[in-house]
Parts: sequence; C-alpha cells; structure tokens
Amino acid sequence: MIEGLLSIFTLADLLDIAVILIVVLALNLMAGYAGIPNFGMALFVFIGAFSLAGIGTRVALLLTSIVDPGFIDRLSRAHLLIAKTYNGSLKDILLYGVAGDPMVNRVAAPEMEKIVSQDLILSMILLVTVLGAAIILGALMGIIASFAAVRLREDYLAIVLLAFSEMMVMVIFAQTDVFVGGPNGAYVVKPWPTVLEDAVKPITPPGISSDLMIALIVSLLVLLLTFVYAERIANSPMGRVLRAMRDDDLVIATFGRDVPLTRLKVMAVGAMIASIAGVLYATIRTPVVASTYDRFTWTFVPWAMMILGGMANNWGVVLGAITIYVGQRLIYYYTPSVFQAMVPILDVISRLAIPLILSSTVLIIILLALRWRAKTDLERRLATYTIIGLIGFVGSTLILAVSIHYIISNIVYVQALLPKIFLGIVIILVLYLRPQGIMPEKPARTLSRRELKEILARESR
Amino acid sequence: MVLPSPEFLVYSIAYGSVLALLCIGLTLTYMVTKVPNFAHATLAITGATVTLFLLDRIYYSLHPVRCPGCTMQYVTLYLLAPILAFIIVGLVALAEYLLVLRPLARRGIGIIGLMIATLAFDMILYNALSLTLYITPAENLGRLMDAPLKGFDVGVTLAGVNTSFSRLLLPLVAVLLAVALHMFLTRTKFGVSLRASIENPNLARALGINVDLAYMVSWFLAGGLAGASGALWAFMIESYKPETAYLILVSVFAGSILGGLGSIYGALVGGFLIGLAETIGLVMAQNLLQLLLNILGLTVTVTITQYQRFFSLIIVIVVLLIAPQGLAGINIRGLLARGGGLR
Amino acid sequence: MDQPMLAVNSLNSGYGKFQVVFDVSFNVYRNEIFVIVGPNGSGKSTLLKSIFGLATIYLGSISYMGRDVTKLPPHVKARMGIAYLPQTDNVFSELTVRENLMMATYTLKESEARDRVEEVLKIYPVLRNRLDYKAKSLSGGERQMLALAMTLVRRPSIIMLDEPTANLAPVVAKDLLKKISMLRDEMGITVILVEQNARAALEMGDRALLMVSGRVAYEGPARSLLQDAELGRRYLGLR
Repeated sequence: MIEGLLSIFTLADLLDIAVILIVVLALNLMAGYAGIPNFGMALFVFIGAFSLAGIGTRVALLLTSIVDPGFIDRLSRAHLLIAKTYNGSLKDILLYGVAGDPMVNRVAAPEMEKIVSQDLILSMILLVTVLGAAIILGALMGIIASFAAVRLREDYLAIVLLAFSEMMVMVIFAQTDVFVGGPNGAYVVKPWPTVLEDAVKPITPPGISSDLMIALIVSLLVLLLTFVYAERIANSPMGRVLRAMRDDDLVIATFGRDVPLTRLKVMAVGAMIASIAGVLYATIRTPVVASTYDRFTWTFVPWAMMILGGMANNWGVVLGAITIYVGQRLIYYYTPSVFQAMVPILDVISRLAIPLILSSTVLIIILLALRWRAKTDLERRLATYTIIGLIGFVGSTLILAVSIHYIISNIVYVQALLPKIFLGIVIILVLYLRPQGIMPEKPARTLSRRELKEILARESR
Repeated sequence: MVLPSPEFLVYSIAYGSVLALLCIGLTLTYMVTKVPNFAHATLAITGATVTLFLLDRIYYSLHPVRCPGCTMQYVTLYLLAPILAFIIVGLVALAEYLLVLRPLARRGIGIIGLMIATLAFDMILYNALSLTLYITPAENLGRLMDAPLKGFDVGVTLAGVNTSFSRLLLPLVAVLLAVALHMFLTRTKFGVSLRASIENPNLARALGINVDLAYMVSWFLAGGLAGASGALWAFMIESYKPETAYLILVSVFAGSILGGLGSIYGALVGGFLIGLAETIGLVMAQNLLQLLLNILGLTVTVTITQYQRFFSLIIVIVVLLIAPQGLAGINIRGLLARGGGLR
Repeated sequence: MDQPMLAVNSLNSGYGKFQVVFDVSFNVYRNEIFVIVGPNGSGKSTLLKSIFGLATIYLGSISYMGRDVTKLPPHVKARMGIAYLPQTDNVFSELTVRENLMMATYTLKESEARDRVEEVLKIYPVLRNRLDYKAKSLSGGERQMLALAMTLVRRPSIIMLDEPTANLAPVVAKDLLKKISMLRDEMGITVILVEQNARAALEMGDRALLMVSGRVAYEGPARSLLQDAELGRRYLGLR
C-alpha cells in the first residue's frame, strides 16, 4: 500500500515540496516570528525566477556572444525567424531580444545552454550572476516592502503588500514583453556546468533528467540550510526581539530596539530566501510565465501551510507544508476511483430520494422543536449544529446522486479543483478548531536545556 | 482624437456603475466585520453565473436573432437576472458571514486570520463555481465556461450612439439601488438601526436592537448588490471566466479604499471614479501620450491599456500610505498632521 | 428610612482576573441623588459597571427593589428600569439627533415613541434645534444632554451616570448638573452620580460614598463629607 502511495510522487514533486518548504520557512520568519502580514510572497519568489529567466538569459547571451562571436549569425541562418527579428546590434538583442519572442527564446535558450555549460568558468559566471541578481533584487523588494510596514496598520499593510505583489508580477512583468516575455514567458538557460551533470549521472535514476537531479540536490541543500538558519534565529536573542516586535512593538521600541531596521532586515532576508527558491523552481518549470506566480499558489497556500502547521514553529510549518502538499496530491490521485466507487451507492440513493427527503424533513422538524424547548445554551447549540449537519449531509448526498454521472464524465476537472476546495475548507476548520496549528509556538530556547539545568542548579544552591 | 467616442463613454459609465455597486457592497461588509472581504469579486461573478444559466436554459431561444418578435420577452432577462442574482448571491454572502466570519470572530481570531478566512472562502466559492460550470452540461450555449455572453446583449442605438441594452441599464440600476439603499438606511427604523449597530454595537444592544440581525441583513444586502451588478456585468465580459473575478477584485478594492473604507457614499463615488479612470482615463492618457510622442517625432505606438490594473493598484498603495481615510476623510489639516494609517 | 431602592452588599468585582472593587456595601434610597466620589482609579466607574452587569462580579450581591439582580444581564436590568449612562460612546455620533432618539425608543410602539420624544424635547429644548444634525457635530454639553435624553425617553426609575461632566467647560458642567438635579426634583428619578468634580457633586447630592483604592472610606450625608476637612483634603482635593 505504501508502495502504491509512493508511486504517486515523483522526484519532480520532491523538488516542488523542497521549494515550497523554503518559501514557507521564509514566510514563517516574516509573518510567524516577526508578525509582518506578508501577503506579497508571490513577488519575492517570482523575482528569483526573473533573475534566472530575464537576467540569466541575457547574461548567457552576452557570454555566448563573447565566446562565440558568430553565434547569432549561425542561429539566424539555421532559423529564419530569428534572422527576421535580429538584424541589429547586440544592444538591441540584449534589450528586446531573448525574452521577447517565444520562438526565438525556445530555440536560442538551449543553444546557449550547450555553449555555456561546456565551459566551467562561463557556467560559474552565469550561476554567480543569477544568484547574485536573485539575492540583490530579492533584498531590494523586501526592503521596499518593509517601508510600507513602517506606517501601516495590520490589515492595510496586508492589502498594500498584496497590491504591490500583484502590481509587480501580474501587471508589469506579466504584461510587458521586455522583462520575462510577458504572457508567453521566457525560457531559461540553466546555469549548471556539464561537470556537475556528469557528477550527478551515477545517482540519477533512469528516466530522470540530470537537470532535475541537480536542481533537486541543490534545493534540498538550500532547504536544510534555510531550516538550520531559521531555527537558529528562532532560538537566538534576535528571535526574542522578533517576537517582541510582533507582540508589542511600542514596548520594544522604548527598550531601544530599532523596530523599522529590524523589520527591514527580516523582510530583506526572507525575500532573499524566497527568491533563491524561485530560482530553483524556475530551472525546472520552464518557460517562466509571470502569471503563474499568482497569489493563490505562492501567497495563500504558504499561509495555509503555515497556519495549519503552526505559526512561529519551524518544525510545525514543515509538517503543515508536507501535509497540505501530500494531502492535495492524494485527493487529486484518488478522486476518480473514489467517485467511481460511489456510483452504485448513489444510484441506490437517487432511487430512494423521496423517502429520504421526507424522513429528513421530519427529523428536522423534531430537532427544531427540541431546539425551541431547549433549556440550556448547550442543548440549543447542539440542536442547531445537528440540523445544519443533517441538511448539509442530506443535501450534498442528493446533489451528488443527481450529478454523479456528469461528475464522472468530467472527472478531470473535478480532480483539478477538488483539492483547492478542500484546502479552503481545511483552512477555515483549522482557524476555528486549532488556530495555533498542529505544532504551536514554543518558547524561545536561547539557552540549551543543559545550560538551563546548570543555571537552575546554581541558583538553588 | 484625444476625446473618447460616445460608445466608449457609455461603456465607461456602465463599467463605473458596476464598480460603484461592488464597492458599496465591499465597504458595507468592511464596516460590519472590519475585515476586507477578498471573496467579494467572486460574489459578483456568481451573479454573472445566474445570467449565464438563465441565458442557457430559458432565454437562448428568445434571443432576437433566433426569434425576431420576441424582443419584449427577451428583455425580461435584464430584469429577472439581477433580481434572481440579488437573492441568490445575497444568500451566499450571508452564508459567508454566518458560517465563516461570525464563528471565527467569536472565537477571537484576529484581522489577519479573518482575511485569510475570506481568502479561503473565495477559493472555495471560486473553484466550486468553476466546477459547476465544467460539470453542468449546457443546453444551448455549447460550453458554459468561455460562453461568449457579450454576444447575447441586445444592441440599442440611441441618439446615434451604437451601444447595448445592458450598458444603458447599468447606470440606471446603479442609481436605483443606491437611492433605495439610501432610503432604507435613513428613512426606515430598521435601516437606521443598521447604521447604529455598525457604529456602536454595545450601545445598540443596550437599547434593545438586535445587532446580530442587523449584521446579517447588511451582509445579505452587500451580497445582493454584488450579485445584481454581476448579473448585468456579465454582458460586458468578453467570455465568461471566473478568472475575471480575480482581476476585478483589485479595482473594487481600489474604489472602496479611494472612497474611504468607512463611508458608503465614498465607495459609490470611489468605485465610479476608478471605473472611469480605468477606461476613459486610461484611453485618454494613452491618446495624449501618443499625441505627445507624435509631436516629438517619435513613431512609437503606445499601448498602455493593459496597465489598467496598475493604476488601480498604485491608487490603493498611495491612498493607504498617505490618506487612508480616502475621499470621505479629506481634511487637509488632518492630512498634514497625521500622515498615514498609523497604528 | 424605608427600604433602599438599590442595596449593594459586600461587592467584589473587576475585569476578568483583575479585581478593582473590594468589599463595597452601600444603600441608595428612592428619590435621592447619591454621589460617588474618590481619587482616580478608585474603582468608581467599575462599581457602576458592576451594578449594571458590564464587569465581572466575584462575590457579593445587588438587590433592586428587594429583588436580587446580581446575575441578570444588562438588557434585562434595563427593562426593569435601571439605566446606565457611560462616560463615552453614549450616543451614535454618525446618526442625527432625531435618529439617536429614534433608536432610543426602538422597542416602543410608534405613537408611544413619538409622545416620549416630545416629552424629552420639552425638557431639553436645545436638542430641538439640533434634530437634523449629526451627533458628532454637537458640543460636549449638548452631546451629554442627548445621551441623557436617550436614557430618559425610556422612563427609568434609577439612572447611574458615570462622570457626565468630564471634558465639559465649567459653565456647561454646572448647567448639566442642574439638569441632573431636575431629574430628582421634577421627574422623581433616583440618581447615582459618579463624579470627579467632588465639590459640585457633593453640593447637589443627598448622600455620598467615598471610594479609595476600591474600598469604601465613607458612606453618609453628602454635606458632612463636604465639610470633613480630613477626608476632603486627602482624597478629594478640597480645601
């Protein structure tokens, strides 16, 4: 059974999980510990993708043109469309070329990749540039975002951050061709040198590309580093400062802590981490289309994972993220078989529809009477919930029975959308039943247990 | 050249009316629950879905193209859809309040948690709607998702202007609903008690007013406004897609924030202004820019119409940072003294 | 003295786990003005809130007209004739004066409501001129008058006022206190008045309660407290 379950997941999924985990850990730092309601995470992740697809490709073009001056000519001769587009200088190409035209992009990118990856030095330059850009741009975005946090109340801040993220990603980047190819997206030049690919080949399972393998290994490494970093911050004096800032920033300001500066640092670091995650994600999910970095996938889902797992608890949010990711995949995978299995039952129910409705109506009337005569608040509430539950249950069963055949014939859509609906319901339930999450925040342990014991022993003497 | 064509003007006013109604609803729910309802645009698109189904099941064969003598009958669609949508979406909004926001608020969940809850409800509603559209077979429209609703609008030529029935109807409906709401809130005892409950629920309770009922009615009305507006807005959308809700949410927020989140009249004005700005304003700006560039001898064609959201978003950010009270709170002295939505 | 209208016995109350009132007992008799004075933070406001049911009562009892009302919720007490006028938030700022009075008569029949509003406007003619103005545009004194009017419209038997003259100019405050005396003189309403302005309050009051740090330091005739140099000087800033 475990075998069967595991077979649903591929290594590409593992990369997805690693990336989203990095993002959630970054979000936990910003929102969980520092209390900044960052609804603009999508932007930070996208900036990383942009660094790879927008900046990286241009740098790669520059590098290939230096190493192989006839590159563009060669390409134009081989592909007439490129010839049509480019008759100009390198400057033109750098500004408008690579990212803009999908045809050009799709053809040029792999060619450049071939050239760049052969040479270790070129690869290194590309890698460093891309990472550098991701880090710098990420930090920049984080800093800009932190300026808004200075003077705004919680809910206004959340809206502004959301608006900022939407504006940058959905409007500017998604609509303008120059940056990342607009609606068509841009292909990437992966910055991994061939030596790395060769090194990885032995451990690559059959059927998996070495690109995926490298990205996976790097992602897991980054994930590990991020987790260690997050934990260290959490259990350090800085962690206490962040929490104090979250809970009452006026108090901590009077103690001499520079609140805006601390916020700036948190946002900058968090954004940098998310940006790197974006780079890793983009190496595999090509072409990079800006509109896919939407607020649902990269802002809401991480928040959901953080809340479910437990805000301000790094182990918690990891657990929450894995739970949601795995849960959604499971729902996706098992939806067809579950609905198929329901068909016979539902057919029976649809034939019994009338008696079912009649008996539930009678039950509801009885429950209403009981509710009206209830002596205590508890009894009344119990009756209310039972009525709602009954209506919901019978109602949805009947709706299902009526529509089951339509559902089966459109099972693809059901598969795709049901996990999202479930996620929405789960989040509301979590907020209602256990808002502190699966693993609630634990107190900061700046001193290890051993040190604490020693101190306590000393004090009692 | 710079001024818009009359057709476009009519379109612009219609769009402004849609936003105005949506903004009123959003501000109303914000005043009651103190939380911006991220699901509001999806409520509007739910209203559009009502129109979609009515068209598919009932009115398809009555369209003037297929039935030349049926124009009068077909026109009843423009009445039935908003009314039905008002009720249905009103109930959906009420459900959002009763099942999600009220229980969570009573649990003590803070603003951010409640915002996430509205996002979650948005996700549920949006995807459930999409699912319904995929699963339910269309009788006439081919495919419910992507149905070209615009084509079902009735063309009208008024004073030489070629426009459509929905675009003429929208401003009328907006004015009607706004006036009705105003009458309700100021002339009826229950309406006044609604305003009282929103402002000071403790005092209202002490006076024997059923504050809970007031809140429920407010949410129902907000949803109703969204539904009615969405039902007619359906004719202005290129092709039916729930995604459109995703995009218009920004404009609705912009309008409400511009008007000041505590003022219904502000929302009306703000929504309308944003609607005008996004359409006429943008086109005029583009034409002006083009003119300027042409004068300077540059032959670049300027298309900034795809950036309409950008301006709405800029407005949101600027207003919140500088004057969070919006239009309703314009007070120059206060502006200089306070300077921002300080905590 | 006949039976007290309101009897408070060994009341211990506060907010949540934070106790403010310690073992307070006193009686209020029909048709008198009972003044509660004391330094800041002595628990005067909390005392009123506890009587009305807006604070947590740990121990003790409150009886009204002989009935034990300790555990009753505020709106039930309101219907029994007990009115409470808080210091702030006692009117709807965004509503007009007319609308405020409309809300005050919410539970009454249309005709009854109209009569009572007329009644109250006769007592406070100033409000008649301001009927269509929003409450927030009223002056401090006018607003307190509106709040008082909204309470009177419900014909309470006993009104508890929490620092009604706070933030009012001295002249306006004096006028308001005069109107409060009228409540007893002309309408037969019993008044419990919490006041920061001890001298003015004690001058118009019949009996008084001095609260210090949540406990009773004096209960008796108001005049005597006014003349008591020791207590007056130490706690009330009276010379």
